[in-house]
Amino acid sequence: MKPILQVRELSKHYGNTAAVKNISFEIGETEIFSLLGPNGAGKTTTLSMLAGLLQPDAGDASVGGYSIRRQAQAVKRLIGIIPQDIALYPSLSARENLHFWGQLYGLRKKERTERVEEVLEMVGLRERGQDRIEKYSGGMKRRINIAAGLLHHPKIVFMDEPTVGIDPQSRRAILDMVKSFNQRGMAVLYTTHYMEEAEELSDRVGIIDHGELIAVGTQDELTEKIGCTETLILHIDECQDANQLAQALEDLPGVLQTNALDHHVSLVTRSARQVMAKAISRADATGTRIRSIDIQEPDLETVFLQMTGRTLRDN
Amino acid sequence: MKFLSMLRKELLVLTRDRMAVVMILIAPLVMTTVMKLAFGNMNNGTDIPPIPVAVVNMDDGQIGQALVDLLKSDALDNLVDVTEAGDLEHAQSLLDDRTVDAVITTPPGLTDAIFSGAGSEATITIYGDPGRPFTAGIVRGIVQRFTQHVAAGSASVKVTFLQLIETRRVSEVTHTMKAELGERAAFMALESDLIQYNEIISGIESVKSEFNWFKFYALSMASLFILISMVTAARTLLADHELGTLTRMRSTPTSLGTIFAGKTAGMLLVGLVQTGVLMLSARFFMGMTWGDPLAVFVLTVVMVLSAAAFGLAVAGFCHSSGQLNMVGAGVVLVLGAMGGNFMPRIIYPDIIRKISLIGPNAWAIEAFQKVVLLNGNLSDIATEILVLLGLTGIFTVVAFLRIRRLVK
Ligand SMILES: Nc1ncnc2c1ncn2[C@@H]1O[C@H](COP(=O)(O)OP(=O)(O)OP(=O)(O)O)[C@@H](O)[C@H]1O
Ligand SMILES: [Mg+2]
Repeated sequence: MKPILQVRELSKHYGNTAAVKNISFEIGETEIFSLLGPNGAGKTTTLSMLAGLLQPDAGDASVGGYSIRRQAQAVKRLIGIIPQDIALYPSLSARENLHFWGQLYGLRKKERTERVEEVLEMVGLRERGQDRIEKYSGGMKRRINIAAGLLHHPKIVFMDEPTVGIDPQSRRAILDMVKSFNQRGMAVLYTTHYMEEAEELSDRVGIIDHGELIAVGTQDELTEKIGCTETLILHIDECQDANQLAQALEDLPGVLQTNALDHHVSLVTRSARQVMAKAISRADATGTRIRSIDIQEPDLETVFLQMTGRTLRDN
Repeated sequence: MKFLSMLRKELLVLTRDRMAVVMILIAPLVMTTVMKLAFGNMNNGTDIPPIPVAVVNMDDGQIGQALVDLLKSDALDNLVDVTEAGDLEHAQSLLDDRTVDAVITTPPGLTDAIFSGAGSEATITIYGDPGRPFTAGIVRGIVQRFTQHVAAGSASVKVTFLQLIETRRVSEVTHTMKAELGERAAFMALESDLIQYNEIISGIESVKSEFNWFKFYALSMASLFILISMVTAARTLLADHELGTLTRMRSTPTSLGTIFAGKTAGMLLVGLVQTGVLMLSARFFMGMTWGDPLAVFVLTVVMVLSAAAFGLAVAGFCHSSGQLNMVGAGVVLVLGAMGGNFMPRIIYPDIIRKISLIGPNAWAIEAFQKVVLLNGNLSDIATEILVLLGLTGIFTVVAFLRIRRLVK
């Protein structure tokens, strides 16, 4: 597949913190690619560099063959940015906002009018287009916020955690929209710390942590990478010590890795069922009460857990 | 063109902001109308009762006498009511029982001191009633103009120092007028029709007309509200930063230069419209004349430029648009008070008058007074124009340095 985006050894430091370290990946012309990583992993920093908003310290990237360093203006024509927070003028109507953004993309009157109506239609707000943004509900604002990034028919759309802090209904609508862009032939670079979103949307996923891209591939490739494993999760009472239990279970036969987390211990195993009984009796012996047990098929969460020793959500 | 799109958007955003419209257009018009209703019937200083002044002339030369003559002249009849007091004690008793508002004393040998040239000192002391700083300020203005004309007569010779400071009677400090004029200079002053009597009179006419309250307030409001509106307009820059719209603009193929040019052009246009509306409504609805059109036009443009740069510089120091609202209001009020937007600067002590010169409004008012009240033309306000342009440059640099962080 022909790549629309190629990232080569991109790095960015803030003072002593390395926000992005030597990242390389590619996105195909019709692909949805997710950058999956916890808070502070370097997702926004990566997107900002690719969007030409932030100078990289080292490395380069190209969009449609144009370098983000040397041909930033050409790059900007090819990408559609959808900021995480709503970036619109509250006192202007949706149409006025869209026309303004369309003008900044250099669209002439006639074409612009068509595009504005097209994207309003796409986000289902055509009949509300003359209302001021400040009169919209949160979910409607988000939809216009998305529409504004699509006016110039970008080849690739950047979305930075577009579903953080919004209701399930709007979230659903946004995920469906991402799929529909893709069906219209746009590539998507999507960042998230929700494993389920990455799983649902992406053709390929890049796992990013502490500024490093630790694995890239399709979901199957990634789970294969960590071997044929199941994760056994032992939930314990709040007052009990997960670390102590994790240590006690470390040397059980069939346990590949233990991780002590908030109120639970996870065991990466060859076969969860074989380990389960022994784990429970060992826990009893250490005086730890187990409240419930889960078995997880390998998923991106497991991949992240196994590669970093932490979960995506709580750190 | 993207620049025009930016400009159009700036204007749209500002006109949709009700507070901004009130501050930029409605408030200055209302204030000017109120001033017209309050002071419109006072055509000039004649409506203020003459200020009672006592003069103690201890000089036995021509200059002391010239000052007394001037004060007692018909031209100043309706401005000051002069009593010649024999000695300082008598004059002070008049001041104590508030028969007079100010006492002017000329020292023995004033004329000689001025003639004797460099190094000599002459002290004209004004004792003002601290309870009436305003009228004391007018008296000081008259004396100041007189001394300036003594110096002006010697224009061909260098005047090194000539200063007059008002003292408050209570503090018992006298001030010094140092006249280090060459002898020749002083002679020339006298030769050329003793200190150009007519010019002094017309100068003092201007002191009177400075107290044409309506004109004074109309131009004060113009130079005050331009600061307010430019700070208000600069707020949109911080708002763009907060809204994320600045980042979004930068993510489009639009250069930073175009983005900021659009914003600045929006501010300038708003400023010009505001001042224009204010001037035209004062002219056509309130019958006020503004003086030499070219001077007024150039001054207006330069004033708007300096105010816009000022607004951006203040915005540069604020972290949020909310903070700018507070800080901006404070800074503008202080500059307005010091710079003479509420009361003529002439009544303030020297130190405040000097500090106020950092604000563009002080210079704008000064220049407007010259044009509007004294019928000055462009060359009369060249200094003020140049200073305003200089301030524009300084504020622009400061604004640039501070605003850079928004696009990092
Ligand atoms: N302007 C900045 N100045 C200093 N450090 C920064 C700045 N922006 C980001 N960082 C640091 O760089 C690292 C990566 O931040 P980044 O915002 O890219 O993470 P992220 O993956 O987008 O996180 P989140 O999920 O919270 O949005 C973090 O350690 C962060 O503290
Ligand atoms: Mg982020």
